[in-house]
Amino acid sequence: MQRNFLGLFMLISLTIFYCCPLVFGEVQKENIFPVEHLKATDSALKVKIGDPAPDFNLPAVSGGTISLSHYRGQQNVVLSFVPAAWTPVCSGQWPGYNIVENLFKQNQTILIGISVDNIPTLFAWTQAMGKIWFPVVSDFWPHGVVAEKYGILRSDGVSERALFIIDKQGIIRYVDVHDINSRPDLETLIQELKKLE
Amino acid sequence: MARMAGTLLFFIIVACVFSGCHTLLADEGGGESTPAPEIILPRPTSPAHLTYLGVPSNPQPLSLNEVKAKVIVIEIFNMYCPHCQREAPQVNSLFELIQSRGLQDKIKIIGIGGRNSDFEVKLFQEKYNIPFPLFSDPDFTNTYKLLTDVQTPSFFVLNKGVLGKRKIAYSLTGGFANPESFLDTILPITNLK
Repeated sequence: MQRNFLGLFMLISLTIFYCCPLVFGEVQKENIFPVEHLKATDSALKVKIGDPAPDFNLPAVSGGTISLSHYRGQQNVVLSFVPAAWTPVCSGQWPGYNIVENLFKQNQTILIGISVDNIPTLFAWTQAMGKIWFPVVSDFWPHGVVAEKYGILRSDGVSERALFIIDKQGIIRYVDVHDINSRPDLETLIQELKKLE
Repeated sequence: MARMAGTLLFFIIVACVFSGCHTLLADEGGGESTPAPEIILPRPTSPAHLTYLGVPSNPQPLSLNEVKAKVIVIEIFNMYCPHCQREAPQVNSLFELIQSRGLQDKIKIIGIGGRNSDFEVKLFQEKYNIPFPLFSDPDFTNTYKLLTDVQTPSFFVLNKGVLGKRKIAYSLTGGFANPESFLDTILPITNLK
Protein backbone atom coordinates (compact mmCIF):
# COMPACT_ATOMS: atom_id res chain seq x y z
CA MET A 1 0.00 0.00 0.00
CA GLN A 2 2.74 2.42 1.03
CA ARG A 3 4.82 1.44 -1.99
CA ASN A 4 1.90 2.09 -4.36
CA PHE A 5 1.32 5.48 -2.78
CA LEU A 6 4.99 6.38 -3.21
CA GLY A 7 4.94 5.27 -6.83
CA LEU A 8 1.84 7.33 -7.53
CA PHE A 9 3.39 10.38 -5.92
CA MET A 10 6.55 10.03 -8.01
CA LEU A 11 4.40 9.85 -11.10
CA ILE A 12 2.51 12.99 -10.12
CA SER A 13 5.76 14.88 -9.39
CA LEU A 14 7.24 13.97 -12.75
CA THR A 15 4.00 14.96 -14.48
CA ILE A 16 4.14 18.37 -12.81
CA PHE A 17 7.72 18.78 -13.97
CA TYR A 18 6.94 17.93 -17.58
CA CYS A 19 3.56 19.60 -17.80
CA CYS A 20 4.42 23.00 -16.33
CA PRO A 21 6.01 24.14 -19.59
CA LEU A 22 2.87 23.09 -21.46
CA VAL A 23 0.58 24.83 -18.98
CA PHE A 24 2.35 28.17 -19.17
CA GLY A 25 3.89 27.83 -22.60
CA GLU A 26 5.79 30.51 -24.38
CA VAL A 27 3.71 33.50 -25.31
CA GLN A 28 6.27 34.56 -27.87
CA LYS A 29 6.13 31.46 -30.08
CA GLU A 30 3.36 32.24 -32.53
CA ASN A 31 1.94 29.73 -34.96
CA ILE A 32 3.42 31.59 -37.89
CA PHE A 33 4.37 29.58 -40.94
CA PRO A 34 7.73 30.71 -42.30
CA VAL A 35 7.59 31.77 -45.93
CA GLU A 36 10.58 32.27 -48.18
CA HIS A 37 11.08 35.35 -50.30
CA LEU A 38 8.51 35.31 -53.09
CA LYS A 39 8.24 37.01 -56.48
CA ALA A 40 7.02 40.54 -55.68
CA THR A 41 3.85 40.29 -57.78
CA ASP A 42 2.49 37.48 -59.93
CA SER A 43 -0.73 38.63 -61.60
CA ALA A 44 -2.22 41.02 -64.17
CA LEU A 45 -4.34 43.79 -62.70
CA LYS A 46 -7.80 44.10 -64.27
CA VAL A 47 -8.93 47.37 -62.67
CA LYS A 48 -7.59 50.91 -62.44
CA ILE A 49 -8.29 54.18 -60.72
CA GLY A 50 -11.59 55.58 -61.95
CA ASP A 51 -13.19 52.18 -62.62
CA PRO A 52 -16.24 51.05 -60.68
CA ALA A 53 -15.01 48.50 -58.13
CA PRO A 54 -16.24 44.97 -58.92
CA ASP A 55 -18.93 44.11 -56.40
CA PHE A 56 -18.89 40.94 -54.32
CA ASN A 57 -20.96 39.11 -51.74
CA LEU A 58 -18.74 36.96 -49.53
CA PRO A 59 -19.11 35.03 -46.26
CA ALA A 60 -17.87 36.94 -43.23
CA VAL A 61 -15.99 35.55 -40.22
CA SER A 62 -18.59 37.17 -37.96
CA GLY A 63 -21.37 35.29 -39.77
CA GLY A 64 -23.61 36.07 -42.72
CA THR A 65 -22.28 37.70 -45.86
CA ILE A 66 -20.93 41.12 -46.74
CA SER A 67 -21.28 42.90 -50.04
CA LEU A 68 -19.27 45.86 -51.22
CA SER A 69 -22.38 47.61 -52.55
CA HIS A 70 -23.80 47.66 -49.01
CA TYR A 71 -21.49 50.57 -48.24
CA ARG A 72 -22.32 52.63 -51.31
CA GLY A 73 -23.50 56.08 -50.38
CA GLN A 74 -22.47 55.55 -46.78
CA GLN A 75 -18.77 54.90 -46.36
CA ASN A 76 -15.55 54.74 -48.27
CA VAL A 77 -14.07 51.25 -48.29
CA VAL A 78 -10.50 50.08 -47.96
CA LEU A 79 -10.23 46.54 -49.30
CA SER A 80 -7.16 44.89 -47.80
CA PHE A 81 -6.31 41.68 -49.62
CA VAL A 82 -3.67 39.58 -47.87
CA PRO A 83 -2.20 36.40 -49.33
CA ALA A 84 -2.51 33.93 -46.47
CA ALA A 85 -3.41 33.61 -42.82
CA TRP A 86 -0.70 32.54 -40.38
CA THR A 87 2.14 33.90 -42.50
CA PRO A 88 4.55 36.75 -41.80
CA VAL A 89 3.78 40.27 -42.93
CA CYS A 90 0.08 39.37 -43.14
CA SER A 91 0.18 38.54 -39.46
CA GLY A 92 1.36 42.06 -38.78
CA GLN A 93 -0.64 44.13 -41.21
CA TRP A 94 -4.15 43.69 -39.82
CA PRO A 95 -3.16 43.94 -36.14
CA GLY A 96 -1.71 47.33 -37.03
CA TYR A 97 -4.95 48.45 -38.70
CA ASN A 98 -6.72 47.08 -35.66
CA ILE A 99 -5.37 49.83 -33.40
CA VAL A 100 -6.14 52.75 -35.70
CA GLU A 101 -9.90 52.44 -36.11
CA ASN A 102 -10.17 56.14 -35.27
CA LEU A 103 -8.15 57.09 -38.36
CA PHE A 104 -10.53 55.16 -40.62
CA LYS A 105 -13.61 56.58 -38.85
CA GLN A 106 -12.29 60.15 -39.18
CA ASN A 107 -12.30 59.59 -42.94
CA GLN A 108 -15.73 57.87 -43.01
CA THR A 109 -14.07 54.67 -44.09
CA ILE A 110 -14.65 51.01 -43.34
CA LEU A 111 -11.84 48.50 -43.71
CA ILE A 112 -12.66 45.04 -45.10
CA GLY A 113 -10.05 42.33 -44.77
CA ILE A 114 -10.12 39.59 -47.41
CA SER A 115 -8.10 36.51 -48.26
CA VAL A 116 -8.61 33.21 -50.08
CA ASP A 117 -8.49 31.29 -46.78
CA ASN A 118 -11.66 29.59 -45.60
CA ILE A 119 -13.78 30.91 -42.76
CA PRO A 120 -12.49 28.63 -39.96
CA THR A 121 -8.89 29.53 -40.84
CA LEU A 122 -9.67 33.25 -40.89
CA PHE A 123 -11.59 32.90 -37.65
CA ALA A 124 -8.67 31.23 -35.81
CA TRP A 125 -6.18 33.73 -37.18
CA THR A 126 -8.18 36.85 -36.40
CA GLN A 127 -8.98 35.51 -32.93
CA ALA A 128 -5.23 35.45 -32.25
CA MET A 129 -5.11 39.16 -33.07
CA GLY A 130 -7.55 39.97 -30.29
CA LYS A 131 -10.88 41.65 -30.90
CA ILE A 132 -10.91 43.23 -34.37
CA TRP A 133 -13.12 46.13 -35.33
CA PHE A 134 -13.34 45.51 -39.05
CA PRO A 135 -15.13 42.76 -41.00
CA VAL A 136 -13.14 39.96 -42.57
CA VAL A 137 -14.48 38.00 -45.54
CA SER A 138 -13.42 34.80 -47.24
CA ASP A 139 -12.73 34.50 -50.97
CA PHE A 140 -12.32 30.74 -50.62
CA TRP A 141 -15.12 29.38 -52.78
CA PRO A 142 -15.43 29.68 -55.72
CA HIS A 143 -11.71 29.92 -55.14
CA GLY A 144 -10.35 33.45 -55.42
CA VAL A 145 -13.23 34.62 -57.61
CA VAL A 146 -13.08 38.16 -56.22
CA ALA A 147 -9.29 38.32 -56.38
CA GLU A 148 -9.61 37.14 -60.00
CA LYS A 149 -12.13 39.90 -60.81
CA TYR A 150 -9.66 42.48 -59.56
CA GLY A 151 -6.81 40.74 -61.39
CA ILE A 152 -4.79 39.95 -58.29
CA LEU A 153 -4.96 36.16 -58.07
CA ARG A 154 -1.44 34.74 -58.12
CA SER A 155 -0.53 31.56 -59.96
CA ASP A 156 -0.26 29.60 -56.70
CA GLY A 157 -3.84 30.42 -55.68
CA VAL A 158 -3.27 33.17 -53.11
CA SER A 159 -4.09 36.79 -53.75
CA GLU A 160 -1.60 39.59 -53.95
CA ARG A 161 -0.99 41.82 -50.94
CA ALA A 162 -3.16 44.62 -52.33
CA LEU A 163 -5.03 47.67 -51.12
CA PHE A 164 -7.91 49.33 -52.94
CA ILE A 165 -9.61 52.50 -51.80
CA ILE A 166 -13.19 52.70 -53.05
CA ASP A 167 -15.18 55.87 -52.52
CA LYS A 168 -18.81 56.24 -51.53
CA GLN A 169 -19.83 56.16 -55.19
CA GLY A 170 -18.18 52.78 -55.58
CA ILE A 171 -15.31 54.11 -57.68
CA ILE A 172 -11.72 52.93 -57.25
CA ARG A 173 -9.59 55.87 -56.10
CA TYR A 174 -6.32 54.16 -55.10
CA VAL A 175 -4.62 50.91 -55.99
CA ASP A 176 -1.54 49.40 -54.37
CA VAL A 177 -0.60 45.92 -55.54
CA HIS A 178 2.28 45.72 -53.14
CA ASP A 179 5.43 43.63 -53.07
CA ILE A 180 4.05 40.53 -51.36
CA ASN A 181 7.15 40.33 -49.14
CA SER A 182 6.72 43.71 -47.51
CA ARG A 183 4.12 45.63 -45.60
CA PRO A 184 2.44 48.65 -47.23
CA ASP A 185 3.19 51.92 -45.46
CA LEU A 186 0.31 52.94 -43.21
CA GLU A 187 0.98 56.66 -43.46
CA THR A 188 0.62 56.51 -47.25
CA LEU A 189 -2.75 54.77 -46.92
CA ILE A 190 -4.04 57.35 -44.43
CA GLN A 191 -2.85 60.21 -46.63
CA GLU A 192 -4.71 58.69 -49.59
CA LEU A 193 -7.85 58.40 -47.48
CA LYS A 194 -7.62 62.06 -46.56
CA LYS A 195 -7.68 62.96 -50.26
CA LEU A 196 -11.22 61.63 -50.62
CA GLU A 197 -13.99 64.23 -50.24
CA MET B 1 7.50 5.76 7.94
CA ALA B 2 10.11 8.45 8.52
CA ARG B 3 12.09 7.15 5.56
CA MET B 4 9.01 7.29 3.33
CA ALA B 5 8.23 10.82 4.47
CA GLY B 6 11.78 11.82 3.69
CA THR B 7 11.56 10.31 0.18
CA LEU B 8 8.26 12.05 -0.47
CA LEU B 9 9.69 15.35 0.68
CA PHE B 10 12.67 14.82 -1.64
CA PHE B 11 10.40 14.31 -4.64
CA ILE B 12 8.26 17.32 -3.75
CA ILE B 13 11.37 19.47 -3.67
CA VAL B 14 12.68 18.05 -6.96
CA ALA B 15 9.34 18.65 -8.71
CA CYS B 16 9.14 22.22 -7.43
CA VAL B 17 12.71 23.06 -8.33
CA PHE B 18 12.43 21.72 -11.87
CA SER B 19 9.05 23.32 -12.59
CA GLY B 20 10.16 26.58 -11.01
CA CYS B 21 13.32 26.65 -13.07
CA HIS B 22 11.41 26.61 -16.31
CA THR B 23 10.51 30.16 -17.27
CA LEU B 24 6.81 30.71 -17.10
CA LEU B 25 6.20 33.08 -19.93
CA ALA B 26 9.37 33.86 -21.79
CA ASP B 27 12.97 33.03 -22.53
CA GLU B 28 15.24 34.88 -20.15
CA GLY B 29 18.91 35.66 -20.30
CA GLY B 30 19.99 36.53 -16.81
CA GLY B 31 23.35 37.33 -15.39
CA GLU B 32 24.90 38.23 -18.71
CA SER B 33 27.54 40.93 -18.90
CA THR B 34 28.11 41.45 -22.57
CA PRO B 35 29.11 44.98 -23.48
CA ALA B 36 26.13 46.98 -24.67
CA PRO B 37 26.27 48.16 -28.30
CA GLU B 38 26.12 51.90 -28.88
CA ILE B 39 22.53 52.73 -29.67
CA ILE B 40 22.08 55.90 -31.73
CA LEU B 41 18.56 57.20 -32.14
CA PRO B 42 16.81 60.29 -33.51
CA ARG B 43 16.95 62.88 -30.74
CA PRO B 44 13.50 63.46 -29.19
CA THR B 45 12.00 66.87 -29.75
CA SER B 46 9.48 66.71 -26.94
CA PRO B 47 10.75 68.70 -23.92
CA ALA B 48 9.18 66.10 -21.61
CA HIS B 49 11.16 63.28 -23.20
CA LEU B 50 14.40 65.26 -23.24
CA THR B 51 13.95 66.05 -19.56
CA TYR B 52 13.09 62.43 -18.76
CA LEU B 53 16.28 61.21 -20.43
CA GLY B 54 18.33 64.08 -19.03
CA VAL B 55 19.73 65.04 -22.43
CA PRO B 56 19.91 68.41 -24.15
CA SER B 57 18.04 69.50 -27.25
CA ASN B 58 20.28 69.82 -30.30
CA PRO B 59 20.25 68.74 -33.96
CA GLN B 60 22.55 65.74 -33.35
CA PRO B 61 21.30 62.16 -33.13
CA LEU B 62 21.08 60.85 -29.58
CA SER B 63 23.50 58.24 -28.33
CA LEU B 64 22.25 56.34 -25.31
CA ASN B 65 25.71 56.95 -23.83
CA GLU B 66 24.49 60.49 -23.15
CA VAL B 67 21.83 59.19 -20.76
CA LYS B 68 23.26 59.41 -17.25
CA ALA B 69 20.81 57.05 -15.52
CA LYS B 70 22.43 53.83 -14.33
CA VAL B 71 19.95 51.50 -15.97
CA ILE B 72 18.13 51.75 -19.29
CA VAL B 73 15.40 49.25 -20.09
CA ILE B 74 14.94 48.98 -23.85
CA GLU B 75 11.80 47.42 -25.27
CA ILE B 76 12.08 46.35 -28.91
CA PHE B 77 8.52 46.49 -30.15
CA ASN B 78 6.52 46.60 -33.35
CA MET B 79 3.33 48.62 -33.66
CA TYR B 80 1.87 45.78 -35.78
CA CYS B 81 2.61 43.04 -33.25
CA PRO B 82 -0.41 41.91 -31.18
CA HIS B 83 1.88 40.74 -28.37
CA CYS B 84 3.36 44.24 -28.09
CA GLN B 85 -0.12 45.72 -28.15
CA ARG B 86 -1.18 43.44 -25.28
CA GLU B 87 2.07 44.10 -23.40
CA ALA B 88 1.85 47.91 -23.62
CA PRO B 89 -0.21 48.41 -20.42
CA GLN B 90 2.23 46.17 -18.52
CA VAL B 91 5.21 48.24 -19.61
CA ASN B 92 3.32 51.40 -18.60
CA SER B 93 2.76 49.79 -15.21
CA LEU B 94 6.49 49.10 -14.96
CA PHE B 95 7.14 52.80 -15.60
CA GLU B 96 4.70 53.74 -12.82
CA LEU B 97 6.18 51.17 -10.46
CA ILE B 98 9.65 52.60 -11.01
CA GLN B 99 8.28 56.08 -10.21
CA SER B 100 6.48 54.85 -7.11
CA ARG B 101 9.66 53.24 -5.77
CA GLY B 102 11.58 56.49 -6.27
CA LEU B 103 13.86 54.91 -8.89
CA GLN B 104 12.95 57.19 -11.79
CA ASP B 105 16.38 58.84 -11.87
CA LYS B 106 18.16 55.49 -11.82
CA ILE B 107 16.06 53.44 -14.28
CA LYS B 108 14.83 54.78 -17.60
CA ILE B 109 12.63 52.96 -20.10
CA ILE B 110 12.65 53.52 -23.85
CA GLY B 111 11.00 51.71 -26.75
CA ILE B 112 12.51 51.07 -30.18
CA GLY B 113 10.00 50.31 -32.96
CA GLY B 114 11.72 47.78 -35.21
CA ARG B 115 10.84 48.46 -38.87
CA ASN B 116 8.30 51.09 -37.79
CA SER B 117 8.17 54.60 -39.19
CA ASP B 118 7.86 57.75 -37.07
CA PHE B 119 4.16 57.81 -37.98
CA GLU B 120 3.60 54.24 -36.81
CA VAL B 121 5.54 54.76 -33.57
CA LYS B 122 3.54 57.91 -32.84
CA LEU B 123 0.27 55.99 -33.35
CA PHE B 124 1.42 53.32 -30.89
CA GLN B 125 2.46 55.97 -28.36
CA GLU B 126 -0.90 57.71 -28.57
CA LYS B 127 -2.99 54.57 -28.60
CA TYR B 128 -1.50 53.24 -25.36
CA ASN B 129 -0.68 56.59 -23.69
CA ILE B 130 2.92 55.56 -23.34
CA PRO B 131 4.73 57.96 -21.00
CA PHE B 132 8.32 57.09 -21.95
CA PRO B 133 10.11 57.93 -25.24
CA LEU B 134 9.61 55.70 -28.27
CA PHE B 135 11.88 55.73 -31.30
CA SER B 136 11.43 54.51 -34.85
CA ASP B 137 13.99 52.09 -36.32
CA PRO B 138 12.80 51.75 -39.94
CA ASP B 139 15.79 49.72 -41.17
CA PHE B 140 16.29 47.67 -38.01
CA THR B 141 19.69 49.39 -37.58
CA ASN B 142 19.49 49.54 -33.79
CA THR B 143 17.32 46.46 -33.44
CA TYR B 144 19.95 44.31 -35.15
CA LYS B 145 22.60 45.59 -32.71
CA LEU B 146 20.65 43.86 -29.95
CA LEU B 147 19.17 40.80 -31.61
CA THR B 148 19.47 39.00 -34.95
CA ASP B 149 16.33 36.88 -34.71
CA VAL B 150 13.86 39.68 -34.19
CA GLN B 151 11.00 38.72 -31.93
CA THR B 152 8.78 41.28 -30.31
CA PRO B 153 8.44 42.34 -27.63
CA SER B 154 12.00 41.87 -26.44
CA PHE B 155 13.52 43.63 -23.45
CA PHE B 156 17.15 44.51 -22.78
CA VAL B 157 18.44 45.89 -19.50
CA LEU B 158 21.54 48.01 -19.98
CA ASN B 159 23.44 48.61 -16.75
CA LYS B 160 26.24 51.08 -16.16
CA GLY B 161 29.05 49.51 -14.21
CA VAL B 162 31.55 51.08 -11.86
CA LEU B 163 33.79 52.21 -14.71
CA GLY B 164 30.90 53.91 -16.50
CA LYS B 165 30.56 51.37 -19.32
CA ARG B 166 27.18 49.87 -20.04
CA LYS B 167 26.65 46.15 -20.26
CA ILE B 168 23.61 44.08 -21.12
CA ALA B 169 22.73 42.79 -17.68
CA TYR B 170 19.52 41.01 -18.62
CA SER B 171 17.39 40.22 -21.64
CA LEU B 172 13.92 38.83 -22.13
CA THR B 173 12.05 37.66 -25.20
CA GLY B 174 8.30 37.91 -24.79
CA GLY B 175 6.27 39.66 -22.14
CA PHE B 176 7.15 39.73 -18.46
CA ALA B 177 4.80 38.02 -16.00
CA ASN B 178 4.14 41.22 -14.09
CA PRO B 179 5.99 44.50 -13.52
CA GLU B 180 6.82 43.71 -9.90
CA SER B 181 8.56 40.45 -10.69
CA PHE B 182 10.44 42.04 -13.59
CA LEU B 183 11.68 44.88 -11.39
CA ASP B 184 12.54 42.48 -8.56
CA THR B 185 14.58 40.47 -11.06
CA ILE B 186 16.60 43.36 -12.42
CA LEU B 187 17.26 45.29 -9.21
CA PRO B 188 19.81 42.87 -7.73
CA ILE B 189 21.41 42.29 -11.15
CA THR B 190 21.98 46.04 -11.52
CA ASN B 191 22.98 46.56 -7.88
CA LEU B 192 19.99 48.75 -7.19
CA LYS B 193 17.45 48.41 -4.37
